[in-house]
Amino acid sequence: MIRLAWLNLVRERTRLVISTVGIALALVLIMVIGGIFAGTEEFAVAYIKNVPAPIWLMQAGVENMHMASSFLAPQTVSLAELAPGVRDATSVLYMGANLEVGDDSIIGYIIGVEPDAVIGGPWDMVAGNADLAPGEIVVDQVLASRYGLVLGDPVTLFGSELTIAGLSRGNFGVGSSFAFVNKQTLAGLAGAPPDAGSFVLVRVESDADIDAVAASLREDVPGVNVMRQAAFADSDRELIRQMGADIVRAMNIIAYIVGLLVIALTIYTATLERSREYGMLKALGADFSKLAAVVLTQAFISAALGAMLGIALSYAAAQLIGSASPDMLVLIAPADVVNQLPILALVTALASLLPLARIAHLDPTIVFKA
Amino acid sequence: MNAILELQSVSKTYGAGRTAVRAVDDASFKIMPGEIVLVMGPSGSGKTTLLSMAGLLLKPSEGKIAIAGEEINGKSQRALADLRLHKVGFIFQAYNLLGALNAAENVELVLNLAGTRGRAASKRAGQLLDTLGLSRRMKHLPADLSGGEQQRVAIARALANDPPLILADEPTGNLDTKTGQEVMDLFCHGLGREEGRAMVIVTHNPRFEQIADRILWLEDGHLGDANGRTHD
Amino acid sequence: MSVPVARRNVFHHKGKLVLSVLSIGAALAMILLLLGFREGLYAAMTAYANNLGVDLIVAQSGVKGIVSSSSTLPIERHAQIEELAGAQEAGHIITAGVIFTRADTKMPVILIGYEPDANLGEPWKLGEGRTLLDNGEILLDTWLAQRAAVQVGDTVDLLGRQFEVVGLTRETASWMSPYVFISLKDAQETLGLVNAVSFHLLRLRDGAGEASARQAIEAQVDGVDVIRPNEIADVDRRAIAAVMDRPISVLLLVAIIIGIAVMGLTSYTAITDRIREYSLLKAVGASGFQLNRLIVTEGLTMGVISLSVGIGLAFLSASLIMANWPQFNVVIRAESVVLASLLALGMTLVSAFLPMRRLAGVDPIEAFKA
Repeated sequence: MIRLAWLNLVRERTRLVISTVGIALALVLIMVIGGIFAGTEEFAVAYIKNVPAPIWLMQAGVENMHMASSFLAPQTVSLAELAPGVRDATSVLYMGANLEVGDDSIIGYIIGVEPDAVIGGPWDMVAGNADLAPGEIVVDQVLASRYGLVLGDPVTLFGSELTIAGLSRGNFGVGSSFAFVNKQTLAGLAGAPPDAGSFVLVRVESDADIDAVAASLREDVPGVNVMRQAAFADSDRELIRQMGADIVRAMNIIAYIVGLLVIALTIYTATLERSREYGMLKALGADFSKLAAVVLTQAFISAALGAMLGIALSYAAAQLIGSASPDMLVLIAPADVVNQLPILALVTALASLLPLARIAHLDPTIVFKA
Repeated sequence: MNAILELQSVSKTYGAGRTAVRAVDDASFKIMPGEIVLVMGPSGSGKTTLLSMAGLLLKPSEGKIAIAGEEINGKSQRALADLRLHKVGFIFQAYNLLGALNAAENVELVLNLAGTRGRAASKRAGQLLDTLGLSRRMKHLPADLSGGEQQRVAIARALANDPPLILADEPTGNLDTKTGQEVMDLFCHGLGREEGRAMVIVTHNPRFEQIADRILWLEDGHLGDANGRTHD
Repeated sequence: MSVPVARRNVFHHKGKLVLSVLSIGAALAMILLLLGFREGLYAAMTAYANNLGVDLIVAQSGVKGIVSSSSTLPIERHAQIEELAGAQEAGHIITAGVIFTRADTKMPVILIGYEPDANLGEPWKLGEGRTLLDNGEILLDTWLAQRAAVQVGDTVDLLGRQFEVVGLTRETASWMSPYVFISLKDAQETLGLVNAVSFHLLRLRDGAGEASARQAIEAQVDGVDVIRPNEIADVDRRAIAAVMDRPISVLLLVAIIIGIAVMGLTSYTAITDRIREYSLLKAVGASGFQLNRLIVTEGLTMGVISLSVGIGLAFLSASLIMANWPQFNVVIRAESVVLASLLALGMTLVSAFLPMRRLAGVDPIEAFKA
């Protein structure tokens, strides 16, 4: 029966191509949308991950960087530095703002860093410098190339012109575009007090126990939330994940419906065409379960072929998208792939219902008709 | 009187070089108006190929073919189609009716193709089907008709544009003896032989010999006994 | 032709027709829904600006959007601004992107702090409860409340402070960032913006000229821009588009490829399934033109039916989605429908092309094969 199913499939090459390609593409859509969100998550936490501060202080009640605001009292830095085991504490100012380039308005996050800060600025420079003198700004190279900017060009922030003094790498992702300016400048432009800060980045002594330091900070510094770097990154990832969860699920459902219909159509048509053969088999004594086995085998072979092609195409698409658009990271984890397989199996089974119904009602005397 | 169909040294070769197969070799014959001619021979002898060429469905590799005095060599596809539409009526072994159209519509279709539309077409289709005893089955789809009924619809279709030549490929091949006899009777009396319509029938059925004027024997692509037996 | 061969052929196998039409229709609906999601997101994110019902908005210089940036203005200049503008009514709001957390829910929200006793800046549609009357109170979007399992009367945390939920708003939902409302004073304290606001809202007296008001304010008050609500909405929309367009375009591209593939291949099989019958027509003398016309007519018939089904499915799905998942706003524009129509009809014509070519080359002898 399996051999019959296989032969039926390969004999109709066009139909096989249709079902394989249809399922493959539906899978590509699902993998790519999931991958885009996974990639967005990673880009969103790039700053948190790359700044070498194991402990982060932020406004009490704040647990995220992305799409959030945090304001700390100026004395937070000095209080933090007093805690045992702290090597140094750096204050950075952080706010969402638009960079204006010509007529374009680019949503981004601006990090205000002091020029002599040990950490908190860009960690990978490709051109210029990150001295962050007043009036200067460091933007990501991808943003620069996308908007036709070079070192020395102006961008406008809060109505004032800043000059691009440096180009960094790894700061431009979907929904997470970071630029760096002088901390005082940012505060002035935004109308905040000159010593305003959003996050305090804490480095610990080499022999200190990070958790113990964090505990001290919680006790000693009032009005703050103290978070470990990894936990902070996870918190932001979770935010993006939750934001995307609904839309990813919605798109998945739609894609699977399309995939289901494609399988249903091809298997149903194939079954229709083979009515005589199935009728003959029925007349020869094959019961419904045997015929159903043929139909289901066909459906699942189609689905399997489609899945293999779909997975290969998804990875190829991820590569293609990433190289065409460096701010889009499409991350497809093997686990994501594996998770889809049971759903695909279910969809395939559902798609076989109509063809199976047809076989059940097939009249074996069809063989006697011309 | 001009021949309805004339083949002169017609041959058909499939393939090339060492794998070339000469399905029909140097066949020549004439069919006159009103004649019923059988083409018989063993399986694989080239009968269908011969009939295909006669019906302008297959281009011969060599030789000339003329239908109703018109030579077909060098004619365009469009002209050939036109000839097929008006000069030739096909009847196949497998009926080949369009499954989505009912009996009347299958006949009307070829009338439409030839330019007859609307009431004129449905009237003529109705008349033909009535003559063939199918007046109560006109609205039925092929799937709801018996083999014999389907063949009669196919015959009506073949007659629709009043062609001077009917070509039939195993017309009773799928029918039981009784129905086959009925169809054969139609060939003899109902298909306009008296009005001068010629018929070329490829068949294995020896009963057709009773109604044939001539029998052409085809073996390994060679046409034998062109003058054959004649029956009056 | 009198006999409607094309129509008969298309409708002969009901099961096949339904599946083909559904496949193509679903692919089309998918494209329309994606386009609708995008439009809907922009509409949702600019809903506040579009429903403000004020004539002019005064913002920090260089700030032109609500969602896309933060603006701070000292409150002292308010009287001056109001007088210069000849305003009938004036109000202040603070806007900020913050994270709303409750149990497992973590959502970025757009926080609006407005003056409960002013008539400006408040939510425009209430679902349950009442509007703000006092400090310490909060209005949540209905969907957000549902998701976080919050009811009117509950207490929630925001930025380390507690608020009582007194009402739930409508038309404020978005999977990206729903709206949340507290009093202006609360917002100032929570965000550490004493004596500052984000925007001044102005409703002019009848007859007061907008242009002259604008000029007057900009001339005499430093560091501000005067803009109209629709300008803000535009800026926000473009800024979000700059972020979202790329990933959405990628998805759209994949969806369109799927759509084209499904449409093309489905139409193609539907037609090639009938090659034998077309050969027969050729055998009985149908001309090339008559055959091509038949194929194209069949293709277009299926195309038009599928298109109607696809559009119907899209609008139906959109209604269902919005009714059951209010965080999704789906706006299907006329332009999208036109695009989809062209795509569908174009595809059916293209997919008819190959069978037509094949048929031209086919020997009518096919008809003889029993």
